[in-house]
Amino acid sequence: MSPSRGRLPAPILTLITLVVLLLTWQLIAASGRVPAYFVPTPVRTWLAFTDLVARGYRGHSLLEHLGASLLRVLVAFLGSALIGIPLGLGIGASRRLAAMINPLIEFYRPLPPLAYYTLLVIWLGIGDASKIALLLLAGLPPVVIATASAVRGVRSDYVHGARSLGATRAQVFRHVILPASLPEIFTGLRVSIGFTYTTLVAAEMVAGVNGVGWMVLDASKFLQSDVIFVGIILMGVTGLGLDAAMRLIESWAVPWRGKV
Amino acid sequence: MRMIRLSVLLLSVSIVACSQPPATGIASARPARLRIGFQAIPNAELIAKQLGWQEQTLGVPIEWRQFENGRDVNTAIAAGSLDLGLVGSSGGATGLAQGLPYSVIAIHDVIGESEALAVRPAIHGVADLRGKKLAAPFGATTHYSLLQLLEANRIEAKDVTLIDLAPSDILAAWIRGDIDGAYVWQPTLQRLYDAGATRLTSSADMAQRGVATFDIAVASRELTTKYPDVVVAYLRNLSRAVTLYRDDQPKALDALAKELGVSVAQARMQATGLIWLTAEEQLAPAYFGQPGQPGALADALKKTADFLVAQHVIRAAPELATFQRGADATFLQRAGNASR
Repeated sequence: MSPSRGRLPAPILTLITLVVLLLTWQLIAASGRVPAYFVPTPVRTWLAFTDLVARGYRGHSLLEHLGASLLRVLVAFLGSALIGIPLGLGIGASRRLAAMINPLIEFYRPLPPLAYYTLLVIWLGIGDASKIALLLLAGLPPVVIATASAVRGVRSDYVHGARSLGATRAQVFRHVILPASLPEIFTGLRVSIGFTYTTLVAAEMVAGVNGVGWMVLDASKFLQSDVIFVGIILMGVTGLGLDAAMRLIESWAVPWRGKV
Repeated sequence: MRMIRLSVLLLSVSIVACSQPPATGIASARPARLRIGFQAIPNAELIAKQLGWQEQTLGVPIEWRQFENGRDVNTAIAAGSLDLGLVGSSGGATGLAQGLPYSVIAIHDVIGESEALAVRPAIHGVADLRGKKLAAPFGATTHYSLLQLLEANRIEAKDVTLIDLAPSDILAAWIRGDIDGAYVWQPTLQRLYDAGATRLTSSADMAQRGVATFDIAVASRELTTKYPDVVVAYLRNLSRAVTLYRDDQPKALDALAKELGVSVAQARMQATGLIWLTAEEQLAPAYFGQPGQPGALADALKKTADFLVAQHVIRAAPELATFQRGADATFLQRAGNASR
């Protein structure tokens, strides 16, 4: 007898969850007890989706909305990485730099982004600059903190070993500290893209003309629950896609993860 | 903890038991509390609120909740968290079209000069709007008026950039030079004028061309079916505040100014951009009409919903009869009769 008798493989279990969820959704929506603006039926949601694909939303196709949002997220994320990794490396390596920069990051990190968003809009305008700046500020702290902690966490015997073998400071940095830190830096990057993505709707709240976040907000003004459902599902799927992409890049860039 | 709660409860029960019933109180059933969603719009609601009339005459504790837009009022009533609320006519038309469980029970005000399209001085006519960036809070009455204005002048959606901005952001965007115009209400409108904007068209102009917009009072179905007397008493206070504004303007404006947190002069300026109507006046054919003889309000709501469907803003609008049922004049009629 096989030990896995009576047990179902993981993908089947996931599928069962999805089917149960869809059935429950359909049952609740079709029961007639809840109005459509509460819970649209799965069929109506699907129709809303095909309608959005065919006709777009408010003069932009669904792909344009999705593309506009993804562009903002990716530009902001690249910005956080380009600023955050060097800054984190510096903070991790230098106590003086840490003393200068850390308080600033610790101060603004817990601030709700909407608290300072209006300021960004006043400073940078209602175009994409303020939106990307908000997303960048949301994504920056996880990168900085993870990178700094990674550098500080590099085992000192690695560093001492390399130094005693005659490595220069630059060589130690390039061949010991950086590779040893990369796994944690990637964890920071994954958290960062998550933060960036969860701030998307807030960023598209002001002066929206496109974007999935704005689409959901706009649909909510007119109680278009089916469009809201479509938007949320799209954002969920896209979020999963982004995370999967990050993991793929990570396994390619840091094959030594978990082995140092 | 439980003891404290119990004693507080007993105390409040005894206070309620000892207090005299209000002079114009309600004989029939009363809800445990009344949750009113108001907006900072200069109308009778704020005067009655500032003078404490609803508390005095309804005999129920009132929870005042401020809202910034009709969307949130719609959502709150859909969620069962609000009994009475103020929405614009486009928000109300959307709500009725989507089957929200509420009725339109009164017109708070007919929108006139208080909502207008303010533009850069270089824009002299509607035709100049082509290629420009215009802002409005989407879903609001001004958004509706702007879309109507563009359509009436055969300017298509792709010919202009419409930006969804809250009034506070509109001012910032104007000052930074990000937008060429905005269709917005007071007090933001005045600030735009002060910052160099000129008035291209107003909702008073639009109303003359047959595109009327209103701020309306909506009441949840639960309130209208279970506590109709409360609704009538509430409307009577609004009507009384309209009368006060006409008979004793300084007192009314003083209350309004306090409620809005502005000077009396500013309150007067803001209030003159809106037309207020007593309960009797709202029963005219131009508005509610009489029960059984629906007036033009239902037509305006239907027209609004149809237009939003044509603009692909909402998917479908019900028949006129739905809006005629939705604009329920019975409470106004009773409030009007009782005040005589």
